[in-house]
Amino acid sequence: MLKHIIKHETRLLRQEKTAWIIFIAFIALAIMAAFNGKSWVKSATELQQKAFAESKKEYEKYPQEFADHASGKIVPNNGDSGEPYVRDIADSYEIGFYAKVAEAIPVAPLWNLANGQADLFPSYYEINTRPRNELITFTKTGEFQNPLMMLVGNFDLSFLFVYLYPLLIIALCFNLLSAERENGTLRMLLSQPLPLRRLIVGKLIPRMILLLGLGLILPFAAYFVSNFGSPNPHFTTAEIIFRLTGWALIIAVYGLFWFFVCVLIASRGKSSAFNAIATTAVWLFLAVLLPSIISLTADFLYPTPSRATLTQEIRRIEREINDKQNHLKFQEKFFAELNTKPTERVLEKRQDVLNDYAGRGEINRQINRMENDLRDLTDRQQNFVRRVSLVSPPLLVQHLLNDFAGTNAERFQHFSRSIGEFHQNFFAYFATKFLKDERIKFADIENFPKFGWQEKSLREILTNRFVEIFGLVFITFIVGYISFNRLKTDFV
Amino acid sequence: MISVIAKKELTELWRDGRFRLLAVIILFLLAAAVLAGWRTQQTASQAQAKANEIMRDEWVNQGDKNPHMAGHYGTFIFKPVQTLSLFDRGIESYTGTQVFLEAHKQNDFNFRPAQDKTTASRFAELTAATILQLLVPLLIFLLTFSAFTSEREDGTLRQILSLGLSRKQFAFGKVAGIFLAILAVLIPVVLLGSLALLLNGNLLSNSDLSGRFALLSLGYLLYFSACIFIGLAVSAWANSTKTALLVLLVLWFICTLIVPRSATALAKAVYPTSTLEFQENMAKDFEQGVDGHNGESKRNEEFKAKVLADYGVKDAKDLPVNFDGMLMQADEDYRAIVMDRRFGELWKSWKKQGDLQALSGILLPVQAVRNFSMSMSETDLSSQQNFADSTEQYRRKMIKVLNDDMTVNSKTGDWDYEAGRKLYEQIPDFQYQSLSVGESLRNETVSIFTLLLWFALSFGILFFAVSKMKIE
Repeated sequence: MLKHIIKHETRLLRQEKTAWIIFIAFIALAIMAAFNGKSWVKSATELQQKAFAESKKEYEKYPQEFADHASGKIVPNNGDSGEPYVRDIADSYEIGFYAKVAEAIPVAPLWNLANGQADLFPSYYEINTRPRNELITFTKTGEFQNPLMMLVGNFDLSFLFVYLYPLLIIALCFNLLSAERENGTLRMLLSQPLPLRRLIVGKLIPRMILLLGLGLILPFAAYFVSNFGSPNPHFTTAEIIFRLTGWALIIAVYGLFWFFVCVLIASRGKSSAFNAIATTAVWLFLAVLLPSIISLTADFLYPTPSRATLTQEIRRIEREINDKQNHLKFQEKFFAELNTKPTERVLEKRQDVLNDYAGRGEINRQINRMENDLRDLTDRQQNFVRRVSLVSPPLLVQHLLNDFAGTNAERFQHFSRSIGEFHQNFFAYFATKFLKDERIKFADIENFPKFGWQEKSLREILTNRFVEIFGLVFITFIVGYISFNRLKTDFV
Repeated sequence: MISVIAKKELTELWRDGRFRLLAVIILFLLAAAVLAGWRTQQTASQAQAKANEIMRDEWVNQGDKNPHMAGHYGTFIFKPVQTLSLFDRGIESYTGTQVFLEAHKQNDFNFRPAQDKTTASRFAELTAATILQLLVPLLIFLLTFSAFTSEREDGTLRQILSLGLSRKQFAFGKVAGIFLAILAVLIPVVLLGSLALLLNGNLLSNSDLSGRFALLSLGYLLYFSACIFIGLAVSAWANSTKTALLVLLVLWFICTLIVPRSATALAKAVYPTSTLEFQENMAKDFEQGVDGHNGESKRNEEFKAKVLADYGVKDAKDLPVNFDGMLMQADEDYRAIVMDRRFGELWKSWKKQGDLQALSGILLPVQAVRNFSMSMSETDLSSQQNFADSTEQYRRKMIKVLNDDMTVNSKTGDWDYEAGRKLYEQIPDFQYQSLSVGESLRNETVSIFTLLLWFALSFGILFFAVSKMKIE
């Protein structure tokens, strides 16, 4: 009997013109979303490559410059006498100050499918020994984005699946039983030896094959369309396939959730009009209202301090380090932090540079502390939202899709933190050389601190997000259980 | 007769539990949004104002130093939070809240509030504007979808029209009834909003603010009227209640979800902007000009030669003024030309993107009301550009005062020359002049035209649909 129902429903679905129009429109929108994704990735990659090229150009000057210094062809001049400034390439202060080390976050594996929070954060920084506030806090390496476009949001595949995919399911399922009742055929069907639940399953199966199939295949197709000819060099094919599979499975479970919501509403035995309004109301509540309420609550419970306060504090520290009365105090802190004392020559001849370095060390330390405090607050806010998003499957799914795509805020914040650590090491290396009065040799370039980016493995993502993934599956199962439990024969 | 129909409609709606429930929910959400918006606006506004005071104090008390060093020390300007942002935050979450003003550079704004928020805030910010733009039209559609179809299906349509009531009068009556129901939801919110603005202390005394508030209310009235006309038109045209409901729901989804983002994607595709191109063009332009910190550039040599010729001396040290100060200012003047050109191109591209997106309002009015609302609340792109231009003009004046002082009061090579508080105080405190209502209205001609067009068009469609409406 089930086979007959499935066959019949499939035939009806094939003849449903509206359903096909919506289905094809969805695929067309998905292709458009894929091409949008391609342009973002291209834009970010170009900026990163330009930064790398400039950094490389700087490094390529070194061999000749070192040679010219060694041979006496170039004579350093600090410009004090009115002559043009000529840098001393072997001086640890100057080479560190003028270095241009570009480091970028590897382009996220599925960025073209989910832009996530990637449009809000810089994807690269340029590092040298200048203070942290210049290089990182007030960085000038972000993309110029039209804020009006950012407000409306990106048209990416995750948007389609989080918002429109449920509507597609609702459009095909809101009148699963009500249409039969309104046509007078439900009574007839149930008078056969056909349990109501089997009827529902028979109606659902062709729809699930169509729509869950779409959810499983479209991410792979969209990835292929937008990455054809330009594979991501930072991730292996196996990793990308794993992530795409994760994406597809999350979408499939999410789709299943909405199928069960439709069954739950249908189980009330009301009219098609009621079902349409009710499922739309559920979608509106879960996809629009609840995330906004969660965001408002998170802001209220974990308000982030005004950035104006951070800026004022930085300016206060700058004034403090420029005050001659504090120079000795900051020098002592600087020596203690690097566990290195300056040579006599440095103390006698290079007080200005020593004070500059000590000041920068202090500002780096203080900003690091303030930004860590700020990050703790934003982490708490994010953790709260993550926990509470279990009640809003659309928000939960958006988080998970961003996680698998590599465009979640956490990844960019991890990058910013790593850059901060790299800057700290870079600064410490040259500062230590300076204190020891050691000149830089060409061979030392190989030992310059390197940026160590640690990408979170898939296993870590799955472990960290286990509760959310399990939560999504559990909620789907619960809704399914309740919905099928409510289906009774006297429902006619 | 119209009033009788309106009263009947209102009575039926009131008796309908769904309307009461929805109205209470929307009223509650609107009240919560207005209060939350008011609290956020107050807190942020006070913080920004205080920060500006502190920066001003820090600027004048920075101590004696070479004026050019003072230019590099710079200052920060914190963006004021507009009063009506309590109602519509517009693009505020995506524009930086502060800008560093320093010599030689026009910096971008730092710290977008969205960076410190979570993914949930990207779904939709719960502001009064969002609720009015997205949820109230849905409420209207849910009130109107069965207005005519249920009368037909119940058999009362023929009876009503047999009473000598014309179809137009019948439609007017329906419009009036639903309009009054919507007003019942909105008036408390308008009163709450007015109270919030009064508490800010300047609704009555600030004609610009009260004008904006009034225009905002009018804009939304036009929008809701168009939604009522469309909802009733669909109900008159549809064969059944179910069809009317489905058409209106699909229309709502298209208006609120698909069209805005599609229009954005189209706008970015038609008028793409490239940060890379911007940076490269800027760098190329700078290389060709005067450089205050690179004595060896060709343009520097040309400039020097001209100055020496003008003063009739052979060496910069013989000048009665400080050549370094003149060079710095020449560098600033040249960079100003470059930055005006390149930033001008960027703003122009963004405006074109915005205009193309606004044109989608001709298809569906939600984009038009969104742009109009942001413009009246001073949280739109034009207001941001106005603020960015104001801070940049202030920066240029500030740096000129410093460079001129260095030029006139010291000699070439004298980097030990220092100035103090007296110089810094010559630069007045930054006072922001926001766009007037007239300017905002001129920037939104497309949106205003679209809203009026939709009002008229939907009115026409309604009466056409009602005139062709089937009675059975």
